[in-house]
Amino acid sequence: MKTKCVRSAGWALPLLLGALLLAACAGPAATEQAAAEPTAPPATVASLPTTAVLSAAPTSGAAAPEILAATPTVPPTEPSPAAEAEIAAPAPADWVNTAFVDGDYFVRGNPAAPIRLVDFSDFL
Amino acid sequence: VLRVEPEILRDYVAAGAVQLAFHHVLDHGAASQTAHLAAECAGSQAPLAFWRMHDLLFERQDQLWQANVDAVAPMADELGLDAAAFRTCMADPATEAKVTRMDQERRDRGVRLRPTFDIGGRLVEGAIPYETFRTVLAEAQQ
Repeated sequence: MKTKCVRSAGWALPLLLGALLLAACAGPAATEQAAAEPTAPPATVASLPTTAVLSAAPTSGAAAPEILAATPTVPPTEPSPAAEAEIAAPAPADWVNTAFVDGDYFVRGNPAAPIRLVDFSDFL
Repeated sequence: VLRVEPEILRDYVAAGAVQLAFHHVLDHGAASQTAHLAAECAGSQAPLAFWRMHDLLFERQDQLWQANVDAVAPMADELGLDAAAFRTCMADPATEAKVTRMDQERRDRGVRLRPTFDIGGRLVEGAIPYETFRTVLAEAQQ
């Protein structure tokens, strides 16, 4: 009987050691993998475009302002050189077809013109 | 100024350097008065209409001797002015008083010749050529 036990323990012992060894190797590996996974997207909130943040924002009223406050404002796009040129150079005024009243006179031309030419004349 | 007005408009007014004004001179009685009233009444509807009427009156001088509103009313129609308002203005004593007063002012100032020009405060008499205008305007610009 004692001999039978020793014999059965003889083939079971390596199996047991092997199982223990496998368990010891598999456990820490799974823990490292879990630790490497981010629990929250740390930098993506700041880097997401506004539309994405707004669409991902929770609908509960308390959390929404915090997320919106953390959302970076998108800087206004710089106007193109062509657009700047349009702003800087308005269409020239049509002074020939500009008229205004100044006292008794109906005056034709640029109101800021440095010289006024008054024509004393009759139509006949 | 009629003869050289196109050049002045092109070279000076269009560039914003000179503005034009017109001073009423009534040398031909009722005919003159009707024409100047017409210009005033066009201007009373829109300042630029004064100048449109001014151009038409010079172009159609031969029609002005009738000295009545029926001679100038078609011009107002042609310019798209309010016909009723135009006739009301033509009959308004205030309009007549204005052109008469302005005519008296030029007499008081000693303006006798036609045309006479006040260019930046300097009186220039007679129908001067365009080159003379250029010289006087250049002096006024300095």
